[in-house]
Amino acid sequence: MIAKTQKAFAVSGLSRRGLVGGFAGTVAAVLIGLPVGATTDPDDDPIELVEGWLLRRSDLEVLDAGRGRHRS
Amino acid sequence: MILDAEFRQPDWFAARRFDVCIVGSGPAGLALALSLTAKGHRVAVMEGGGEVVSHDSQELYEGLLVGTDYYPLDVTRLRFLGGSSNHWIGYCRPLDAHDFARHPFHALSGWPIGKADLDPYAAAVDAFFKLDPDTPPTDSAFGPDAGPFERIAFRFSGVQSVADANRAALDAEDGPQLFLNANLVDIELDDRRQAVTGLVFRSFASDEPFRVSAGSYVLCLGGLENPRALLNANKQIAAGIGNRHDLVGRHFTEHPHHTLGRIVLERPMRGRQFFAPKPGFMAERQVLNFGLRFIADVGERSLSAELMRSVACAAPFMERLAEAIRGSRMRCLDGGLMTYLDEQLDRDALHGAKLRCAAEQAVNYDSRVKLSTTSTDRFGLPRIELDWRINEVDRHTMKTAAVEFGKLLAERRVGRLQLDPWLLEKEITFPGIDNGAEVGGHHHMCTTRMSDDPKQGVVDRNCKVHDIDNLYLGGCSTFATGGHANPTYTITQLAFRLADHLSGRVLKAARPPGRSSPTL
Repeated sequence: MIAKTQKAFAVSGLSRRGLVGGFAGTVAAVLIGLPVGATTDPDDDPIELVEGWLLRRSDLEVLDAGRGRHRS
Repeated sequence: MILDAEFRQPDWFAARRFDVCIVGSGPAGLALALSLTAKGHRVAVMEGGGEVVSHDSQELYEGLLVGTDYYPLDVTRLRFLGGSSNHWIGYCRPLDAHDFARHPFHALSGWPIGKADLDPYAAAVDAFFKLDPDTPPTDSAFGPDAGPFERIAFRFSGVQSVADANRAALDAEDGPQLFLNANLVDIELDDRRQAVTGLVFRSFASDEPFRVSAGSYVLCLGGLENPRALLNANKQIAAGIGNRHDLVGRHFTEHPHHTLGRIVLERPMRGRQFFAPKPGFMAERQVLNFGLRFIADVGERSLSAELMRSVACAAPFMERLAEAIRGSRMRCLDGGLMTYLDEQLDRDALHGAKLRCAAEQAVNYDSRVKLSTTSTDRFGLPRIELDWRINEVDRHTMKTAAVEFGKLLAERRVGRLQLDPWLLEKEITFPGIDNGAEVGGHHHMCTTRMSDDPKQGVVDRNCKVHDIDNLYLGGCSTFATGGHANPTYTITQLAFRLADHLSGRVLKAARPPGRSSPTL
């Protein structure tokens, strides 16, 4: 399943950089009052606002992994 | 008995005096009429329209919009037998206990009555709308504990029109006497200007007005027309009846309805799940009440289309999320084979959804219905102008609902929410109707709001107009605040409560012993 997921991301060309949009994503997070990285999640997996998406940091790590596999 | 005022006989009204004259035959008017009739009182119900929708009647609801984008005023309500219940979709839920309370951050919050005053009428309303028993949900997509939210339930009435549903009672000889095509054009007061002596009506085909007398009078015309009728009754009191403190028509509130974003769900969600904030969260974050619902964005429904979609829906969650984030259309949002099959089996199951919010609105003095100075109807009465205002509390409520619910979805691994772009702006503006968006629930509330203080409201806790001994109002124009739930259930609770009040306190005192009932 992990392999399939990574493949999907690779095909999509997703990357954390592409998602976040760098500065824009951070600004958007501030504007709506969501502290980036703040979470009440017992897994300490912060929720981040990324181009409008409220994602777990681990979601982004999966995306990064997908990108790396594609490039390798 | 249903009669048509268009074909009235000269003696129909001249020599008759009813215990109660009710104007309007929507849920409030008919619940009140049938309850009073069952208690043995003589009731007239005056309906402006006919048995079915007509241009002549509906055109009288045209008005002007001068504030926040809203639906055309002749579209947002219906003017014939059964009133706006004819386009009601049946959502039923009473207000929450905390809807009646005062909140420090909401200046005009607080009712003079509480939930306990309306609860005794729940059984009557359940029967009126043929509702199944109320069984609050115990579990949710988040588990039994949904953090700052709680799963709530709506019940759904199959009643399409309160008139159709009660047709036998309305046709009965001993039922209320309901007159169609009877358009209220004036309210007459006694010399003291403290009691109504009669209501003046006109039908469409005749220029001759006719007058109806009763012991008590109840206007159940809806949240736009109740204030209009009071403001237009200005021959004896220039500012209009009940308007000593310039409150009639003010405090117009709706339930702003907006899509907050789209959700990719980790697991299929079964059943219609609605969520609302817990009171502690509302107090802490200083937000008003709101209801969140998951809406399937259903496109074409066919087996072949669903087979194609089912491929997308069968993919692991992270693949579906990736596809959605990439910006491509969320094919799984539309369902897939399992959703199609679920629908065939009458089971709701969502793989993705839009998140919709229907929120309470802060009561705002400047949000109002007023009389037009430029436009009149066929009876020469000024039409209304609606100046709907949205304020900062409303915007804060909607934004907080979106962000906090989205966070919870991700924290609990239920799904991921993408906020709609308008919520990412620093100064948010609610989407307008021009975008094809639904901007409200067609709920016209608080325009003759309830307060024990005549300087804060038009009617008292018994829905009686302050300063007028025998004039009452029904419907959600009397709500002090709107809560988030669709108002019809509470409207009808208030109607049954008003029936008890009129029967127990007013009619017994007013009726001379031994008076005979009129017949037509």
